[in-house]
Amino acid sequence: MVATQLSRLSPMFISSKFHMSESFERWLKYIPISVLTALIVPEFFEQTSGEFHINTNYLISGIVAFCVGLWKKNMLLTTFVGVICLASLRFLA
Amino acid sequence: MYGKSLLSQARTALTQKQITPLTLAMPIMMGYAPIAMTFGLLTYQQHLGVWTALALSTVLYAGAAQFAILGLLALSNISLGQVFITVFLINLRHFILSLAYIPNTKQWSFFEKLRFFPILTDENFAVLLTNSEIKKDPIQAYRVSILTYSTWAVFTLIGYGFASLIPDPKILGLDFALSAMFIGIIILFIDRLEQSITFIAAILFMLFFYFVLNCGRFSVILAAILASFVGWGVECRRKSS
Repeated sequence: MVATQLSRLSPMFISSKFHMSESFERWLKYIPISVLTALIVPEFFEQTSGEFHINTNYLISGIVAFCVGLWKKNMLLTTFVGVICLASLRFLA
Repeated sequence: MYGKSLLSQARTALTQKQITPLTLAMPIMMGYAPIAMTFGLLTYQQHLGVWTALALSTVLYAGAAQFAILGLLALSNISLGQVFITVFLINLRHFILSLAYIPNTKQWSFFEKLRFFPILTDENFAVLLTNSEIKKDPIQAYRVSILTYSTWAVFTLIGYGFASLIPDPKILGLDFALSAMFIGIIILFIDRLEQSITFIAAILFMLFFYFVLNCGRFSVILAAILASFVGWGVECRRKSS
């Protein structure tokens, strides 16, 4: 919690001290998308006795959610469809 | 004659003068409520306490980073340092927002800045900049921010309370909600070729660090930094050509 507080406040104080270069700003723009993408990749795998396997249910739901997201550009709908898809895959299995 | 002028006065008031902090904050509040509820719901599913949910929403108050923390906590032993770096990287864009907003705050006192900047979000920033008067008024601008801030906190709690009523989240597929939500956010970020390339690069780097090199949770930071360099590199190259 202390760490998160610091990370939130430190940019505020530093930002007034130095001028950010334009290319650094441009690099920063790509941080949210790459962090979020990197975070979800392991979610589609499961580990059993040291080996990684693709979790098919998750993968299918992820692809469906991705397509709906691209189509509708609606975050809530994407979440909802992904969840419903996984629930129905589990129900059918 | 008199009645008519009164009517036109009222119409003018409704169309022009009635832009209050609430009018500006309303669309943001409507957008925040469901996201904050989702956050509260997911916090419950990660077996975290209600105080953790509230603390993350009030102290950190940064959508993407809050969800990222849940994602990090969901997977096994993760060090405080890794949480710190991840959150710091995601929140670095607040740098840019604050920096860009500073020209509007020339007349503000130190205290007015100190209460405004810690709760500045992307949405507040965007909406405030649409109104030339409110954005320069320290009290009005603060009201817009505090309204959206309270909405975020209150709906986090509502979501948390709602989640405790659901018996088994696995049946409902709710264990996938976090990933699905990330996918939804990622797609909103992808609007140009550079972003799509960054997205693919992040997947490839992550697969490499996580599965080939077994870097564990530290892979997230490595992959994110490198993928951002790829996006940045492509952008530079396209601009120069």
